[in-house]
Amino acid sequence: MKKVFAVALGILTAIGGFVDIGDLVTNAQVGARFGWSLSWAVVLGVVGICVFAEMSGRVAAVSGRATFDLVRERLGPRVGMLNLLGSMGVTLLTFIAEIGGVALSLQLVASVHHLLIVPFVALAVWLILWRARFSLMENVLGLLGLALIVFAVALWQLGPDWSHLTDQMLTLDKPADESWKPWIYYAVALFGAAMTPYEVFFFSSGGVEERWTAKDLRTMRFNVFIGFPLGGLLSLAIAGASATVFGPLDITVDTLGQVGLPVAVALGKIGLAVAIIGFVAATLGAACETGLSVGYSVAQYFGWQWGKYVRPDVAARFHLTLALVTVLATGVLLTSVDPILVTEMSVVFSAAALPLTYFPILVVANDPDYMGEHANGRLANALGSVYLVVIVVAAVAAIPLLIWTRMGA
Amino acid sequence: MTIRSGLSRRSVLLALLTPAVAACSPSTPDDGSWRLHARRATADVASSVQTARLSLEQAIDDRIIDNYLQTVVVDAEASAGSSAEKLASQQPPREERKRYDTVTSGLDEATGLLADVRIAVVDGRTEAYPRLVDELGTTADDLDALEKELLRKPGPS
Amino acid sequence: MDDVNRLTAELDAVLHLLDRQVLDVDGRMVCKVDDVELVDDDGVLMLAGLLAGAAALVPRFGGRLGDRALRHWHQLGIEQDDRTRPYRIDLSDVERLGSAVELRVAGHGVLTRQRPQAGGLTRRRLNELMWMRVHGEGGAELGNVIDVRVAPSGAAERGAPILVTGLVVGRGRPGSFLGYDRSPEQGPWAVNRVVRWLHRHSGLVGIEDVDRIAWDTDTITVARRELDHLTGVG
Repeated sequence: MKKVFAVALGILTAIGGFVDIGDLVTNAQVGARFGWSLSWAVVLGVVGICVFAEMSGRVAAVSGRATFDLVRERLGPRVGMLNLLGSMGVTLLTFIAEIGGVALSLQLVASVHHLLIVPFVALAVWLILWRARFSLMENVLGLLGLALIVFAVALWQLGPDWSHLTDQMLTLDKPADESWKPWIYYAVALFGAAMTPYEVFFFSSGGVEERWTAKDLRTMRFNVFIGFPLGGLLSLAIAGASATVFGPLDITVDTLGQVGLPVAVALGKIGLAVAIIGFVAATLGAACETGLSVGYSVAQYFGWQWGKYVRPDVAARFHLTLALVTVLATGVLLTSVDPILVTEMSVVFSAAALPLTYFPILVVANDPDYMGEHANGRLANALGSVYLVVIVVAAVAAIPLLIWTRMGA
Repeated sequence: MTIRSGLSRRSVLLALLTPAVAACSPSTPDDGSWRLHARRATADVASSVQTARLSLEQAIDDRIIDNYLQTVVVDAEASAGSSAEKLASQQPPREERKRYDTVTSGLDEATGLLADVRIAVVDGRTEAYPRLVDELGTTADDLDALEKELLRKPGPS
Repeated sequence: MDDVNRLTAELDAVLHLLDRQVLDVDGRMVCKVDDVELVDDDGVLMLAGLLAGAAALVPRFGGRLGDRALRHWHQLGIEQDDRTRPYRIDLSDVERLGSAVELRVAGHGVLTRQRPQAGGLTRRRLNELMWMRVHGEGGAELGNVIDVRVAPSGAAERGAPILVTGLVVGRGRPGSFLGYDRSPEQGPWAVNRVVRWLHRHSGLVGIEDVDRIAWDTDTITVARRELDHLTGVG
């Protein structure tokens, strides 16, 4: 019974923790402009993150080593450093976007400008990273993130033309008034939003934090293969609700407030309140994860003691890094840069940085030295290799598309 | 350092600076590009107008939290304002001068209305909402017509 | 893998030892193996210790120009007398080499500065061997050193010194084999094929065939015309 509870908790936390500010904004934008004609990109991204999260979780459980630890071992210090700078840069950008997202979410309920909320959010994030127990942080924020299910309820309540939506999904039918260039750009953006690089760093380091062993493989796989896809469904619900309400009115989404409007239309004030709880939980959870991921990557490159599973004074450099990164993120946000803009850039740069993260995982997950009998099987390798190609294509296309379409205009 | 390498250095510098200089001057684009920007700006402002209208409708039905409504309309006004301003600062080609005036005045009217909406919301004057919803609807229609008009190439001025 | 101690058998120093995490007896993280200290006992090279710290890592960033990088590093802190001497962990403190290096002592204070070279056996670093050009008989360019094969010279349990037994020579960056040379069947298939194709000219030279290692000119002369086939010893 206790085991079932633990598994259920893991799955629920995975669902609630899947969506972050990038998913919220990108899916709402895409839904409004393209309906469900880009859901294939979401599905592709979700399957991809499942494949690689399972691999990195397995590496952590079987070898007791986290992903970035192994990046330097396999690629050497120079390429490893490039990898560190690239993935850390993207994760930092995402961290900034998430903190901004929390502030924007809180602005929706408080009549205070989000810039004034940013320092308090940063302080809260830092305190959580410094003090809160890892599993407590994950479970509380993950479960609260389940509030985003309100989008699925709202979509149902809105009574959309289901045949039209599924038609768009299956036939990749782009709306007539949109051109192909932004369609492809948003496909890459959605892919980057689903397959965020920080997720595998965080997932594998979290596995070490929670002292996974080979016995935890089954639970881990439940979390990944059930939790993540259901989380992906929430993304599709956000897109669908946005399509149903904003599509006919030709509204383009560029603020967080607009993301929640369909819920107000469908379910009124209560639904909206639940949605806001979901926004705060999802962005706060993701802020903690991205902040920790930056700390994990740096510490794992240089070999410093990292983690929340030891006392802060034992992992002093790690916690100092977290503090500095939080201050840096606050500084960037206080230049009054639009957090939505930072979010849009972070998903595209995430897509561009994917090969840096996923190639080493694929190699390490195959190494019998670390994995013993748990090295990749045929299916994992087949999927991993196919995805490697997809990832490289998306990565190469990301920045040129960003420039060429001027961020999807 | 021979003359040849000196020349090649200079030509590289020239090649690098020319696009930078060209980008600095207020864009005097061909008429196709101004039309495209005008259509985009009109669509952006129309989107803000529709967002404000939708939110006010929810407010009338008591389906939206007050602070939420306020944030949404403030954002809508800001976004529309910046789109309109960006277009107004763009130098239109000669044959578009007339349309430039029509478009910018249409956008100004819309942003003015959005300012009225924001004032009403912040003051909590809920009795004004139905009227504002109607006005926003009319403005949205006007902007749609403007967008369609901008699909045509510039006619004789 | 829990019970395998690589130091009891033949291993590839770059693949299995370099850049590994070092853990103390309690499992706490200490540092990374930024370089490995070798001692030159009259032409016989053996492992002596693990090196860590900026003084060990900076030359590795230089690649072929490692010593130049170290000189710049020295310039930046010329007033420090131990600027170019890295931190060192003696090999006798290492309990086990699995996926990480596990020490048999606590981590507190385990890193001490390498002592200044004062007579005795010449100290070298593994990084100095990397990238060295290997010339065969008749001046044939066989490639550069990309890995170093080492093995214990006797009973591994206690004290038998670990000697350099061969060099893995090829074209490319040290470590770029990614381990596929040791496990020929390692997946995924596509990556395996690509890496092995990139390393199709790589091979092995036994230490007994090495005529001379010229440390100052970064060249190694061997008494062979071509390389031995690379064996995937487990």
